[in-house]
Amino acid sequence: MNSRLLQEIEDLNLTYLLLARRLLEEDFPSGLFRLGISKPEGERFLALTTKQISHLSRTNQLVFTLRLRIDHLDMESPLDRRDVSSLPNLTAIRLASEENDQI
Amino acid sequence: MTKNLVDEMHQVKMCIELIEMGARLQVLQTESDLSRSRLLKLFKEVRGDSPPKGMLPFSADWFMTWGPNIHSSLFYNIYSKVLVAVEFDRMTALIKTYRLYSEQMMLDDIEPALSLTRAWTMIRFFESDILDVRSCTRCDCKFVVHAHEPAKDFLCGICNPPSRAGKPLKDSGAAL
Repeated sequence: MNSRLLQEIEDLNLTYLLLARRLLEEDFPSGLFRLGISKPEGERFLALTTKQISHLSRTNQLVFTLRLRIDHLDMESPLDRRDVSSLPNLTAIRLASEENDQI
Repeated sequence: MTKNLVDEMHQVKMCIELIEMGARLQVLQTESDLSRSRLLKLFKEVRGDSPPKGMLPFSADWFMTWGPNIHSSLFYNIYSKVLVAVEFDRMTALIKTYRLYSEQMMLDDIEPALSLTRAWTMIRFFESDILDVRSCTRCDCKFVVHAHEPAKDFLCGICNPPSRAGKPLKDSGAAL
């Protein structure tokens, strides 16, 4: 793989981990919700040093996974020909509706 | 009566946040120990006006109508996660959830169908076992339903919209 893509993976990992930390620092419970992670996970995130975060980022794989399920990526919907201008983005419902046994 | 000054200060802070988010007086009367006269004073100081009079809307059926049901379901899904994250402090969860919900409305550039008071009413309906959530058998997302309704083959308003749904909604009850 070319080194530019590798660099982008590392950058994205770093951005994600730093953003996660900031979200949790600003408002811990809301941060857990935004990230879709559990309380113990959130506490571990906050305990990471910047050095550890930078170390965790330096890999050729992404440190986070896709939260949307495959059927949510199917953008076709029975609502396609309806006026949905008063509805919230359906992705918000789908993500918020994930099983929350981990939080 | 509130127990001590620190406790009272916390309650005043909570009430200010609720008033700022548009809560009606009845919400504050139910959820705080502050006297009615203090609440009235607080309301006037925060809003610069007296609280609106009149009854709160009581119908659980509103949450079943198509557009409001999708909004309500988003709200309740957020609430149930935030509630766990704040260790079941309902009012903190309500305030945080209303912020998260309002943020999404801002991103979507739409009016929140749920006012703060409406959202609070919904949570009380859940607590008194009038409303419940059910997973759609097609998309597996959770939606607000009447409690104790037959659960078989439930399809949500997104997967199975009623035929009239999607005509522009006139009044979704935001002006509560």
